[in-house]
Amino acid sequence: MAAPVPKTNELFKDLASLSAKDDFLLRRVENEAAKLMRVDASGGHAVLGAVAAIRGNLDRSVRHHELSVKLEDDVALWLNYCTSLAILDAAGKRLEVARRALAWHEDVDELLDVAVGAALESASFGDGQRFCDLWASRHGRHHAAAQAVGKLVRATDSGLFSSDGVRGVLEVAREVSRAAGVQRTEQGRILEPPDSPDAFLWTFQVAAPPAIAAQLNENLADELATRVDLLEDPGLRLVVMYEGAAAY
Amino acid sequence: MAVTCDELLVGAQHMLAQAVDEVTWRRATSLAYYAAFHRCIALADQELPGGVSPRIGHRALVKALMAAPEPWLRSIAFMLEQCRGRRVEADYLLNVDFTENAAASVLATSQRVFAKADRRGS
Repeated sequence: MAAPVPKTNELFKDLASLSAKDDFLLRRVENEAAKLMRVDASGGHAVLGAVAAIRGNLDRSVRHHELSVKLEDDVALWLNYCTSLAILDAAGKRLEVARRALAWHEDVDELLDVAVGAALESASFGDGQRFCDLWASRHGRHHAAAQAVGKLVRATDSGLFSSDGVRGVLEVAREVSRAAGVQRTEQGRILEPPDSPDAFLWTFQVAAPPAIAAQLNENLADELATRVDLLEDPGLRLVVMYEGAAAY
Repeated sequence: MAVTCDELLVGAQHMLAQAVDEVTWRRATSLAYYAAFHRCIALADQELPGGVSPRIGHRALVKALMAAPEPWLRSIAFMLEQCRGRRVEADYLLNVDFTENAAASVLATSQRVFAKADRRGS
């Protein structure tokens, strides 16, 4: 009798709590995904793409996810692809994939949410505004990120700082958290302190205790303090901060 | 001096350790920031040519440290600005949720400002 074939959803459920340290369990999921290939190749590739993302292998993850969406144009597969890119903190690539997915599934809100987040994180604020406008035209109310996106568009349009400058700071922040092996848990929160109408504070939550978040804040400050270009633009007009959580 | 910046920092630690609600998380955040702010005034007065006034404003202090040629002083300016942003949120944006994690992160960052200032960036 042939061994039972696992379901894609079950494998994704198994992956939800795993990290790169869980090598044995990740290998087991990979073996199960290989079995899945016989009956659901697109699902199998999506699972393997997710495993590669957890292992931090961008090229391998992209390769599997590209095969997955090529074999079957299913919204869930596109969302899996975007989730892997979020794990990999590859905001620019995630924006590109979200755009491609929306070309086929323009009425899917989850994809639009992903596109807004990816546009913000890759400092493509004009794109972010277009996605927010699309969301608003569909729902008759503003997207949750619309206000922040609008402020950032106005800030870049008025020359307060450039998108390239913000992208540079976000990239340094990414490198700092990657180097420490700390994963960010959300796309971040953007605040304009009331006493500083020409400044923004962008807070990212990390899956680590506050003491580690503080270490990241210092590492980030050390890196930025030596970057003449980023001291000039955006300088103190856009400051990134990490926030930890006691639960970790 | 009736109270030192170190005592403010210890006060913030105690406050956060005993905090059970958002009001206290906000107050501990504010106190942790002010501890770092006063530590940085002393640091700037000591390290910057001509020193700084003890009455220097918050943003002026950050800008003065940012203008220093030494990267470690600019790094401290960034950290102080990070804490300042959250302090302003804690003090003024009452309609935005403020969490214990936010307070703990500001306190831990403030402690790093002290440590970095004490070792003069080394």
